Amino acid sequence: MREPTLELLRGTLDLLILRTLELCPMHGVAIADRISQVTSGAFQVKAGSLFPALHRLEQEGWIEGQWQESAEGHRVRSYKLTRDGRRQLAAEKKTWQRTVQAMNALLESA
Amino acid sequence: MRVLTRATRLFSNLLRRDRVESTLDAELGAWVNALTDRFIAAGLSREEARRQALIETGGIEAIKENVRDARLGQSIETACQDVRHAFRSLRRAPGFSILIIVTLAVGIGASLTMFSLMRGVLWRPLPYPEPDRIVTIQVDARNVPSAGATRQELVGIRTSSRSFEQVATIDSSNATLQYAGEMEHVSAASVTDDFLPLLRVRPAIGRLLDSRLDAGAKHPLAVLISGELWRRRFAADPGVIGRAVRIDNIDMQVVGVLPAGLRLFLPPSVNNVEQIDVWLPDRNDPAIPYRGVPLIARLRPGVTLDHANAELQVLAGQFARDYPDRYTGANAWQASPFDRGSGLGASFTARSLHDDMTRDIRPSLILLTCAVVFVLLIAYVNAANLTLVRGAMRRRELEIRRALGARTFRVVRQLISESLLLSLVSGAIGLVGAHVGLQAIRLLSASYIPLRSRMEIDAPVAIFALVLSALTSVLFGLVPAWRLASERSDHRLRVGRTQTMGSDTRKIQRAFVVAEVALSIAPLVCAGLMLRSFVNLMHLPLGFDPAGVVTARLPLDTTKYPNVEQRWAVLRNVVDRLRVVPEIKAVSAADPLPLAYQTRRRVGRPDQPDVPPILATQQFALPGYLRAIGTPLLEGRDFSDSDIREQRNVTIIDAGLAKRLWPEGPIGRVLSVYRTGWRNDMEIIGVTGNVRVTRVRDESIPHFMLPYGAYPSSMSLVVKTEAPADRIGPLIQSAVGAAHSERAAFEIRPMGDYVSESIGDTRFILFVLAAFAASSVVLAAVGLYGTLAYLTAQRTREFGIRLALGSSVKALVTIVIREGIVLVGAGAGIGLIGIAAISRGIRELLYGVHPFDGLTLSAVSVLLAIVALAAAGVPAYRAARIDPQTSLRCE
Repeated sequence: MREPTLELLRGTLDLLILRTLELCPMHGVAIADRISQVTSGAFQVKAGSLFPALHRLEQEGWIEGQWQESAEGHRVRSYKLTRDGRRQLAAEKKTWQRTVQAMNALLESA
Repeated sequence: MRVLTRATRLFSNLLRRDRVESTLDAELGAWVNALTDRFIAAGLSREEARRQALIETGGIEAIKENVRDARLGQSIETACQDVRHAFRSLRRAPGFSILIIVTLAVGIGASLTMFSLMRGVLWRPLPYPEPDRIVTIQVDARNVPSAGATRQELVGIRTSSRSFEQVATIDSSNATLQYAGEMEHVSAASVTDDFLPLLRVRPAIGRLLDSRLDAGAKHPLAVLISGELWRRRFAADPGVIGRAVRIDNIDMQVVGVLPAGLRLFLPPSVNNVEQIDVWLPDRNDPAIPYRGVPLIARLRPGVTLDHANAELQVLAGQFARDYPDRYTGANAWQASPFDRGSGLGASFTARSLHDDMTRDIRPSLILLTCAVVFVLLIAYVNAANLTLVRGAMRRRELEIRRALGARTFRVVRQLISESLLLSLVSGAIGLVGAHVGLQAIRLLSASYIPLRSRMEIDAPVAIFALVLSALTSVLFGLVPAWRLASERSDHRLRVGRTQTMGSDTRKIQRAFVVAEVALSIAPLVCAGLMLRSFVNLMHLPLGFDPAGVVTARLPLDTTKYPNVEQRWAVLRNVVDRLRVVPEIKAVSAADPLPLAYQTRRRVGRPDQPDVPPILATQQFALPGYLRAIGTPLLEGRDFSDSDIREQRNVTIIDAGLAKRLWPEGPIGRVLSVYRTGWRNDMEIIGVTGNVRVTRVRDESIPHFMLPYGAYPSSMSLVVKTEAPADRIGPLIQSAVGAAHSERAAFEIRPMGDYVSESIGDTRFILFVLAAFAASSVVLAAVGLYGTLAYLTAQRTREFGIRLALGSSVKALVTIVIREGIVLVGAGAGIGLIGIAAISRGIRELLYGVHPFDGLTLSAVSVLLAIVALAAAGVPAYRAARIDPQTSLRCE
């Protein structure tokens, strides 16, 4: 049986999206699929949270949207990471790792 | 560079909204298409696949809204959208919008009027540099409050005091200016050298007055002219300095021009003319012992009022020691040992000029401000009530919007936008209303309000209007918004059939109506009490008959006619010329006129030196004055020509003075009139009825009259006639012209003007209060009507059932009317308790009526009952016409 979907922590969605786009530009559905795939279905990103997040990141200048032809032949808006976005991703990664370390330290303390 | 990219994004978000929106639409469309394709691939039919895809995606509109929130500049855009939407939604309900706007405009307009009034009179600093340091010094001499200083005291304070930079005096009057062959009547003031420096006035051209330069008989007297006069009569000629003019038949030369726009703000007892055209040097001799010199001073920097007053007290003691004969010595007050025993001869009190000017009007303004707060509160409650009703009717709309994904915050924001829009429109109308209100107040209380020229709608008032509007929108918009936010909407849309309110909302509505009625009681009762006071004042026996009496000030030229006989001849000539005019029934002259500024003297019996003297008003009169003004002569005789020619020491006293001094009969007795330094003994030749000459409300001050003599330099003609004042005016002018051509009569006005001016304070308060009371009762009536009409409409179905079950129409009407009466009754009961709180503030403004006046209270109750019936009438009529068939089917 599959494990139940995890509730996304506040702020982690941005990190997930930035990390996903680090490899190559992707459109919305692909991003959602990719996140679900990589996390073995632990995180299911819905349109309701994905699109506001994408737009927020675009407004911040971390990603850039462009209309392209998808593999299936649809016109889709695909996003790629900008230079600012890479910097931001690095920063967020660091923050996340510190968070994880701190959490682990707390949980594993005697 | 970040800033730049953000700015361009903000720009494109705001200005290229359509493109941004269509991008979002296309993107979401692509998402749905992709999901659909996936479901088709999984084996669903095209339609089913699309349906599943849409379900999977969730509410498209809600997503869009969330995306929009993520955008830069979203708040600006939402606000614009809210305003547009508010505008549309208000236009859809014009009746409601107009009602709210009118309600709020009345409340805000009234508040703004009072705010401008308070600001202009009480809060705005006087237009002189460091106005807080300018003080007036009140001088009380023995029993006479505000007797004024003597010249010697003026000089004494100026030289000995360390608290004051300047101590000056002013005597404002009128003058006749002759220049380039033209005569003109102008306002004039004689001032000491330091008066204008005290106000920190600098000349626009030339110099200020300086007695060291102006002294010496060789030079003509110096005169300053106002910027206004300079433009009007001298064509703004910069070469005006040194030019000769004739003022009151004396050659003078212009030494300076003051800046245009200079206004003089002094207590009305000192000067009531704000714009002075010519400024003359003060020519009075310090040796003259008379009192009556007003003192204006400027505190040295850092000196407090308390400090100055302490020093003044020391100075008063020093004066008394240095000049025992003037203050405490036996010579000064031979007639009255009482005075000798009373310690200090004079006491000085320094007071800030602004405080001194506004002392009398402060209680009235505070009362009116209280009243306006009531009006504003009623307007708020009314608006909140109306919004609540409308909110109930809009429930469906709002719930649909929420079901479509609008968050509560967004809906509340929308409601607040609507109320803000309404408030701002009302604020703008209120501002216009306040302007009209101020005009009306200026017109109505021509001379009563000090500093009235300083009330205006200016930037601070406009800012206050804005703040008040914003505050208003929050106050009256918040209640319905809060109610909406606090309830859950899940099932209502589905139930949706009726739009009735919950019973607690109805309770709030009833509470609002009760509050409105309660709040309107206070302004109503106050207005009623003021009306009663006003009527009482109107019906007081004045002791003279102002009807058909026209008066005119008649200046007498002391240069041309240096002695009393000559002036008397001129006066006699004018009177005789007028006496033969057929329209004129009687003519005489006196000074001062009743209810004009009065001279007060201390009088007593020479044979009773131990009895404290009585304060009485003194008036000079010509023979025939009593007949012209209509004061009855009870005993004795009027003055005769020979009394004046021979300068006899005779007097006519009024019945009040007679009763206090000689209950056994005064004719032939001697009245002592005390003045600083000596006393005059006068034989009493007549007794008149009591007259009120100080103010219409003051009856306690007795009055005595002296025949025209050496002192008055101007007299006032008193003409009894049947013709109107504007017909008599030219007749007076031509008689005056024929008798002595040098001076023109001025201030030709009916005696009634002085009377109505004297009760101007009561009339002013009455007028403003009546306006406030009328507004509040109308607002309360609207609130009551609106509530009853709505509640009745809500109960149409219930009434239909009742009718169907056999209830009579009369019973239904009774239900509605009873509801109205109960609400008004409850409000009135609470409101009456509130009156107890106000009664203390209003007591001193009333005349001849108690704050808990039965007649007023019952009149207010009757008025409210009528309002309740009228407001309940229409809803009751509607209830009576309910047809059970349609009412049961109507939903």
